[in-house]
Amino acid sequence: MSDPIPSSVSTLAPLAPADISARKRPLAVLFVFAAGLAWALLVASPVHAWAGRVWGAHPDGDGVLFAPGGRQLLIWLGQTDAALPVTARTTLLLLLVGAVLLQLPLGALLASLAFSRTAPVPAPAILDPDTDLDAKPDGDEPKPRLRSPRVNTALQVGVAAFLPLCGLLALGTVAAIVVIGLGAIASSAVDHGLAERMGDARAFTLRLVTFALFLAIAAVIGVIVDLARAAVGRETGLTAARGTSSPAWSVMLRGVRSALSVARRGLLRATLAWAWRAAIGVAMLIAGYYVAQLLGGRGGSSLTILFLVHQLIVLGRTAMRASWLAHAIALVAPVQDAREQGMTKE
Amino acid sequence: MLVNRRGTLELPVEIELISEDGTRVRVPWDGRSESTRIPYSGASALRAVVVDPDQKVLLDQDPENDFATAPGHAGGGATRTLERATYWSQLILGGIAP
Repeated sequence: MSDPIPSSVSTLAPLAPADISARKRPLAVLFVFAAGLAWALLVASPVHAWAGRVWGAHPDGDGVLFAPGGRQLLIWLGQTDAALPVTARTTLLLLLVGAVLLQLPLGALLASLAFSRTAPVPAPAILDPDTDLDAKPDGDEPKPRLRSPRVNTALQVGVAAFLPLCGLLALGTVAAIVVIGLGAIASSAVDHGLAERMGDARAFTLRLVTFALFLAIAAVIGVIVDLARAAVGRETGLTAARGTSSPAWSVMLRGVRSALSVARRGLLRATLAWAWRAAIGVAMLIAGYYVAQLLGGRGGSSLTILFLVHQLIVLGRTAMRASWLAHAIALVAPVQDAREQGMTKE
Repeated sequence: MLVNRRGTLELPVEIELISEDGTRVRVPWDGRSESTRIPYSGASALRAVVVDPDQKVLLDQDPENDFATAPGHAGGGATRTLERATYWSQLILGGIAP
């Protein structure tokens, strides 16, 4: 199966693992952040409209909802207003649709991270499965400028990778729900089974430990799914550059195979690379919480500052995510190229 | 300014009068009668009124009728809810569609 080669996509050249970095693609990170912000504003619009209808005429606006104690907020959300179920359903629907649609900018980000507009390194360096990811290029040789793919090129790859990425989203979500559900059942069983013998306090501690273990398993599954996403984004870019394409299902399965192959070789290393970035993301959230407490942000300039602080946190988390995905692409690239090389020899 | 009590509970409350220049004056009302007229004679026109501005009456289950804004004057809007809901939506979207 082959499609006509779009001229801009055919200029894509895969980057060597050492050259893959989110720091070199700030505009792509900003694009993903802006897409998420735009959709989040849409998601927030029903509840905003509802709050505006009920509380907008208050001289202090909806600031009263966020007074210490949150009494007005609880009363508002707990009342039998016909707008509540409508708002809740619309918000949930917009969240689900957004989760799917945001796979497009994700695909574009993966393309931007994995490719450049020029061929920066000779093919053997990319195809060597033993490539040392931390190796630096020879210092004396002038490095070619690794220009980021054009926006429309990255978006074309994003569109092509949309279905496989949606498949991975569904797969990862189901796997996470199953593991967390099993964790809830197992931890409850541990608690009830050991409460008489060990006492309530110790049994509850073991319950928490058991659930944390399952959460860790869910996180590792998330890491593997991210590796598969990286593989899907890179493979889609490679096939698009060659002017060929594959069914979404097989692209997704090959992505999962590549991810499992990377996981067999170094799951701990990949998980640690994800974990420290995720920890920074969580630290940003905690810092944002305390800043929000300090600012109050019930209106005026303090609300504007709070908005900027919150957006900086989301941007920082997006950057951390992009950094991890860049690392994931660097991990899957040698595996993908080795497999492709093997297929070519056969 | 006419303030009505809905319901049978008679509780003393404060009524805050907010003028166009931002001045806020609080007037006590014992809440015994079904309604009361509060005279206003500020330097600028009255913009809004809030009953029980400190939310001391915890039995009030309908605080949405505790305020009124004069015609032609806008309230404070719902920008705080928009900011909060946007931020939470971003976090949730980041969680379910990483």
